[in-house]
Amino acid sequence: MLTWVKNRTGSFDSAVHFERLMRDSYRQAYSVAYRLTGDASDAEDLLQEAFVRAYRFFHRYDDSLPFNSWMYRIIANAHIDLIRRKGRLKTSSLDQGGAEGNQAFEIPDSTFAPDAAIMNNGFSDTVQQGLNEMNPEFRMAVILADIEGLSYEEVAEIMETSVGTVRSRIHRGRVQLRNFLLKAAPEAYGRYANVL
Amino acid sequence: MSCKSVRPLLSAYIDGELTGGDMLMIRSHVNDCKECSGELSLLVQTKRLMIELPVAPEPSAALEAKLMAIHQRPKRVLRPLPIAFAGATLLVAAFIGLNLQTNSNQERDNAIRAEVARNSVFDMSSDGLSGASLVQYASFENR
Repeated sequence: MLTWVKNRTGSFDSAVHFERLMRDSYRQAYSVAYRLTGDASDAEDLLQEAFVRAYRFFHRYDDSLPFNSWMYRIIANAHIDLIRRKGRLKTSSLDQGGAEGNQAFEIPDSTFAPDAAIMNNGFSDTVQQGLNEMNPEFRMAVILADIEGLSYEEVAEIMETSVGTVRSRIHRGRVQLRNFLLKAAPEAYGRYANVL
Repeated sequence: MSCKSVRPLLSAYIDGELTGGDMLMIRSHVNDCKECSGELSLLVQTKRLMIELPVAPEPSAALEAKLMAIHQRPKRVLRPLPIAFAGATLLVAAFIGLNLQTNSNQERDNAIRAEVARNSVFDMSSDGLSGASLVQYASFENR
C-alpha cells in the first residue's frame, strides 16, 4: 500500500509522495528512455509523457512493485504509443535469417573479454542504430535485461507477460541486433569479434 | 537436443535463465556442434556490446523543472465532456418537445375530424317543387 504523506493542512497528500519517488527515479528512467529512443530530446519528451501518465494513475500504483519498475512499464507503453502515433512501427524487417537467423560464424573464443576499449564512440552509435531498428517490444526487453541487468522474471513483470515470452523477445532482439551489425558494420563487428 | 531446439534457448543460456538440466544439455550440444557454438559466440558478443554502451548523457535541467511541475497541476479528472453533455441534453429536450408538439397536433386533428363528422350528417328530404328526393348536408343553419 502507499504511504501517504501529510501536507501542511494536515490531510494526506499523494502529490508529495509522488514527487519523492519521481526525484529518486527519473535519472534512471531517463537512461532507459534514452536507449529506447536513441535521442536526448525524444527521451525527454517520452519521460515527460510517462510521468504525466504516472501521476494521473498514481492512485493505482501498488508499491509491491518497485516504483522504477512501474515507471519502466509506463515508459514502454508510452513509447509504443509514440511510435504508433508517428507511424513508424517497424516489424522484424532486419531479421532476415528468420527468428533464429541462419548464419553461423566461427568465433575464436566465446568467453567474455574484460577489455571494453573497442567500444569506441563510433561503434556505440552503430549499436544504438541497431537498437533503434529493433522491434520495440524486443528492444525494451533487451534494454531491461542487458542494460538494467534485470532478471527475466522482473522483465516479465514489467512488461506484463510471461517469462517464456520474455525469453523469446530477448533472443529475437539480440538476433536482430546481430544481423544489423553484420550488415551495417561488418568490419567493426569482425574486429570486435577478433579481440574476444 | 537438436540445433532447432537449442538455438532459441541460447540467449537464455547466456543469461543463466534456464533450469540446470537445460543448461547442461545445451552446454553438451554446443560443445559438439560447431554451428551452434558459433551462434552462441555471436550472441555473447551482442550482449557484451549492449552492456558496454556508454552511460546515457545527463538529462537537461529543464527536464527536471518540467517533471517537478507535473504534480503541481490539478489532476485531470475524467468527467463527461461539458459540450457533449450539453449537446445530449439539447437533443433529449428537442425530442421531448417534438413529441409534445406531435401529440398536440394529433389532438387538434382529431377535434377537426369529429367536427367534420358531425357536420356530415345527411339530411334526407324531398324537393317541395319537383317532389324528387333530395340529399342535403346537414349544417348548423339547417338544423
